[in-house]
Order: sequence, then structure tokens, then C-alpha cells
Amino acid sequence: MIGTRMTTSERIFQILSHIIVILVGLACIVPFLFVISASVTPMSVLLEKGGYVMIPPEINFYAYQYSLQTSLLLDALLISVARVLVGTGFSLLINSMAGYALSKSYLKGRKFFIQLLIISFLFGPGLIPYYVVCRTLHLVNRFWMYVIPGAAGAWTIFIFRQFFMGLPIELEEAARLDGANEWQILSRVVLPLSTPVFAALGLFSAVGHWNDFMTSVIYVRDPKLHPVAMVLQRLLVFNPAVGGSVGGSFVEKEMAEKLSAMPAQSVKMANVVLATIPILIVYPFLQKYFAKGMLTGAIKG
Amino acid sequence: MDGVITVRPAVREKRYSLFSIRRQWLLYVLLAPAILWIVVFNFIPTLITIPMVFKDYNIMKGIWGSPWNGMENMRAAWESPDFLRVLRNTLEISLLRLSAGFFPPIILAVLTHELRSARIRNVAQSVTYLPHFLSWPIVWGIVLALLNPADGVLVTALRQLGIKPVDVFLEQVWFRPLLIVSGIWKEIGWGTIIYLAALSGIEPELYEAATVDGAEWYQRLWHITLPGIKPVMVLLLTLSVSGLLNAGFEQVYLFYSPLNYQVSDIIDTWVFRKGLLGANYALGTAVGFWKSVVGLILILTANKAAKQFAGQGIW
Repeated sequence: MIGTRMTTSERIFQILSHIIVILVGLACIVPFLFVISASVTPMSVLLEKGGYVMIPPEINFYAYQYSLQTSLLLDALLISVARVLVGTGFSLLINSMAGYALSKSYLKGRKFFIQLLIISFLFGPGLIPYYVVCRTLHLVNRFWMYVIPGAAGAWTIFIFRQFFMGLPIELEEAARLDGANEWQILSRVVLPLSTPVFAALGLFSAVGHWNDFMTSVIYVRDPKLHPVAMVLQRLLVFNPAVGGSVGGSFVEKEMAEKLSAMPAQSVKMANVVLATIPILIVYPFLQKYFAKGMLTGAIKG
Repeated sequence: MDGVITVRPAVREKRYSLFSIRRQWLLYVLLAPAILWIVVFNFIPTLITIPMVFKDYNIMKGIWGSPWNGMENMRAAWESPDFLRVLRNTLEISLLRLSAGFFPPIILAVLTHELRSARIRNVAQSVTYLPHFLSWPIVWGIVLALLNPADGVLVTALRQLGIKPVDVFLEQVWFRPLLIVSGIWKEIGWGTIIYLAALSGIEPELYEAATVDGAEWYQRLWHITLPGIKPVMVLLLTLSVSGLLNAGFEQVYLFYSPLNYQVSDIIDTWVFRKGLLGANYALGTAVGFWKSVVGLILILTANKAAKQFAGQGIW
């Protein structure tokens, strides 16, 4: 801000503010550095120090090599990628179409449809009735469970609507006068102007799909269909010493065999690091768009 | 001339209305999938809750084939010793989250906003937003790296200092602090966004005038910064009422264990474990039904309160 002269108390306040903000910032990344350090810690260090240390005296990458060779993660990666692509595309399609329709003041019954969406905010259907519906539709234990039920959401529709309402109506009218039909207006005028909102909501949806493991916990228990987040969850709660697990999931023979050969914790941490990499890759893009997305959302639908 | 003038609007009107029918049709086609989705995945499960609550639901017989059993499920839900426990845990965890987690983002936002160095401000924002995008399993991985009783970094460090570390996974008193602190860690930065937006809306002239008048930093904070974010604070606080029954299903599911069900089991985890995995569908539905009803009341109350106190609601 302004002011060249600072009083003593002002200076102390500035210094303290910097210290606190920097400490919070460090607190946000340092724990993750420990995960990285644990992932490269070999058995010898563990035996010598009695556990993981902040800076291991020697390192190796066996845990990564091992994870990438035998990993359940690689199979899961395929599911995750398929799910992110199909799920995000599908969700963007359905929600943007609805948002566009609801952005037109001449849509008959617009108020009614908006009310319907608001009502969907109010009722969170219980887990079991929801499960029954998905089971009836033969979605349970299928890949489609990941992408179909969650595709439409009132929140995303309202953000799209907000965006489309902000587009200048003159563009559309000019195109219409030039003889463009509705589809041409949509594809040649509206869509090219909408990349920011598609990018923002698409990134959010993609991160949501990448991070979701609860859908697998509840509805898709077939391990062959588990995405990265779910495999990571299974791996982390797996406790070879007990033979069971901490988080209430099942004993897995395959996992037990794979974990027994390595310092289990190092392998777990290597997998945590591997699962984080994709998020770090898209993070710069996320940052570019999320503030915008958040704020459009906050200024109510 | 007359003819032309009277005919042309008529023609134009006709063309527009034609257009308009076609337009309407197109818009309905665009809207239909989303409405279908909302009906199938929101309204239908909500509607079938009612018969399911009053029937002895059997997954083989289906909803229509299962026999009615009146208030039996409701009674079973109320009389279950678990019910009060999970309700209490849910509310306590939510309230703890709210009371411990409400102010940290505000403080961080105010301090970030006060920083004179724009570079540090930007870096701080980038770094503190990051945990929001990590999945809960990754956060749990971090917890393990730090606190795993056998070999976690902090545990080992304490041991080397000659302090006998406690087993945070074994002793149930540690469950809630762990849950809430890691929750704050994940969301503190993300929570600042809305406050930073409000802060950037404050007229810089106000600060300049205050500086000219010789106001100290605490006077500036008290008289300019705080009033600037007060509406957002009030809004978020009232809206948070609507989420009281959602104590964080994903995170609790990942963090809890049979060792600490007494303090960790919430409505969602209980309905999942007992109702779905344990195949007590009717009982689970009855408990879920109460959650939905109370949730509806809470969200309506929150919206009303927000409109009254903050001048803006959810819709």
C-alpha cells in the first residue's frame, strides 16, 4: 500500500504479518516434503534410525521403481483417465446446454425450471434410496456409475447460465440477421466466446473426478474398476501387520504380497507422490481459472 | 405507403413467432437432459424414501413387493443406541469444525491483504490454495508420513529426543483434533478467496485517508478492514448452519476406525456401514430420512437468516 514513512508499530505489524503468512505457507507444503522424503528412504535408514527422518542420510528410488513396475496404480490410471475425460465431457455438455437454455428470457416456463433446480439443492436424498435407484438402473459396480449419476448439477448449471446471460445479446441478433440458424449461432457465436467458463468448470470437474474415491467405496466395489484415488485409499489403510485394515475395507492378498517385499510405508508414500503429480501439473491452469469460477459462483445463480 | 406499413409488421411478427416456436423447441431439447437427470437422481430417490421408510424393504422383493410395516423402522431408529450417538457425534464434529475453522481463513486473508510485498502475497496465495485440490487419501498419506505410530517423521523425531510419543490412531481423544486440524490445513487457503475478494473491493482511498490522519494499523483494521468483510462473514456464518448435519463423510470415513467409533462415527458413516454394508436398508433409510428432513429445515433457516442478516441468500 502507500506511505513511505512507517511508524514502529506499523513496522512490527508488517513483519509479524509476513512471518505468519510465510509460516502458514510453509505449513501447507512442508508436510508434503516429508512424504517425498519418506518415499525415497531405504530400509537401511529405517533400521538405523528407528523410523523416518526429515532428511534421510541416503536415498534410493526403489519404492518408485517398484510402484511403477507392479503397481495397481497403473491399471487404476487408465480408469481415472477414462473417468476424467468422459465424466468431465459429459458433465460440461449437459450442464452447459441447460445453462444456455435457462439464460434465455424467452424460454417459456423458465421460472418453473429454475425452481426445480433450487428444489434439488434442498433435498439431499438419503444414501440408501440413491443406491436403490442406481442399482435399478444397473449402474452399481459399473464404470458408468462414475460418470452418469453426478453429471448434472444445479450449481454448475447456474454458473453456466450466469455466464451466458453476460454475453452481449447484440452478437446473437446480428448473426440472426445474417441468416444464421440457432445451431449456427450456438456453435459459431456462443461457444467460441465461452472457452473461459468451459475451461474453469471443466478443470473443476476433472479435479473432482480425479480425487473422488467415495463413489468406489459405496457403489463400485469391483477392484478392477477402481481409480487412482481409491487404490491409494486401499493401499494407505492397508496394514500388513494386522492383515486387515484401519479404515474398514477388506483384506487384499494381492496387496499384501506386493507390500511385504518393501518398506511398506515408503511404497505407500511413493504412491501418494505419484497420485499428486497430475494435480500439480494442472495446478497452474486451475489457478488461472478458479478465482474467476469461484466468484461467479459466489454471486449467486 | 399505408399498405406497406401495415403489412410489414404483420409479416415480421409472423416470422418471429415462427422463429420463437423453433427456438422454444431447441431450448427444451437443450434443457431436457439436465431436467431428466435432476428428476432421476434427485427427485426419485427423494420420493421413494417415503415408501422405503414405512416398509420392511427387501432388496430382492423391491420397493413395491416389500411389505408395509408402519412405524417400525422409525421406532427402530429412535430406539437404536447408535442413533443418538451418531447424531451427537455429527453435531459435535460440525460445531468443532465451524468454531475452529471459521476464523483462520479470515485472519490469513486479512494478513495477506496487508502485506506490502505483492510477490509474497501472490506466492502465499498459490501455496495455500494447493491443499484444497488434493484428495483426502493424499491428505491421509501426509498424516501417515508425519504421525504413523511405528515410523512417522514426527514420531521418530520425538523418540530421538527421548519423548515417548502417543499413538494418535489408538487413543480416541486424538481423533477429532486430527480430523479438524487436517481439515483446516486443507481448506484454510481456499477459504481466504472470498474474503480477499471482499477486501479488494474496499476503496483504497479509505486507507489513504486513514494513513494521512495518522491511524495506526489496528485502527485501520478495526475501522476499515473489518467492516469491509463483515457482510461476507455474516453470510458465511449463517449459511454454515445448513451444513451442520454434514460432518465430512469422506474425511471421517478415511480417518476413523473401530477403535474410535465412540467419538468418530457420524450419521453418514453409520448409514453406510450399518444400513448399506450391513443390509439394514429400512433402518438406514429411516435414519437418512431424518437427516434429510432436518437438513431441509436447516437450509431453509440458513437461507432466511442469511437474507435477513446479510441481505443475500443462497437463492
